[in-house]
Amino acid sequence: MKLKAPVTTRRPEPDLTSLINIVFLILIFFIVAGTLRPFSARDIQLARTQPDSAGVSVPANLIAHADGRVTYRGEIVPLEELGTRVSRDRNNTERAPLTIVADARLNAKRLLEIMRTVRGPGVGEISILTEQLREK
Amino acid sequence: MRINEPDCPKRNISLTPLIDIVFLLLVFFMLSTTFLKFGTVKLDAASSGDGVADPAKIVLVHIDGERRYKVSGVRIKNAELIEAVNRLVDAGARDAVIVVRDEAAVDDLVNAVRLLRQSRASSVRIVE
Repeated sequence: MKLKAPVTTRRPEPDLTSLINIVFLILIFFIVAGTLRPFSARDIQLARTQPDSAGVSVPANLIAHADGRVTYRGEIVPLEELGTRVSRDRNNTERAPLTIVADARLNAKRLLEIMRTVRGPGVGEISILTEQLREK
Repeated sequence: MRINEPDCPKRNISLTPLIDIVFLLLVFFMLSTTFLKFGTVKLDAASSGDGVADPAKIVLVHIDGERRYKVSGVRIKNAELIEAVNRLVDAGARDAVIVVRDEAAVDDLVNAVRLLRQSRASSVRIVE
């Protein structure tokens, strides 16, 4: 009996060059046109201000959520521990400014309470991160 | 003289690992970049007992939530806040004191602080 040898047709590799062109283009667009988000939480809606407030954005690791929870360095911290956690992380000799990422819908009194807790040695000016509206 | 051609066949470089990495970078940048413009508003709530303002020279601004404000008890529109405070500053007042009500949200507070800093009031304080 004569067996037929199996026909092995090697599929040619698809040409990836045009795909990689587009992907590089999109990558470079994102690197050049965007800036890194200063905080990682995605469900935060910032207070909106007219484009005139001081436009510095520093990485902020204290996040006050709309429901009153507080995230510090990526983990939820009860308010009682927040003050010690923040002052432990800061060098007590210098009063470094602190930026809080506060949700616009958060109760203002709760924010003031958080600010009172955080204030201490090593914490200088406290400011709130806002989203600036675009000039028309 | 005869030079032998080098007999190494031209091989296609596989682009698959390259595109793996490029896709990885692309996804990272897509998730971590933002096109928003950020700003900051300084918010230093004067804690009690920290230099009491002269009660005769303060402008009381109540924040009721949803950007509704009362200046010295009179309800005013958001756009008129600066004017209303300036009028009182011209009449002899000096410091603006923000009174935060229960219904007020962070958005209202930040907006009020920002507007009052633009007015001619010499200091802005926050009380609860």
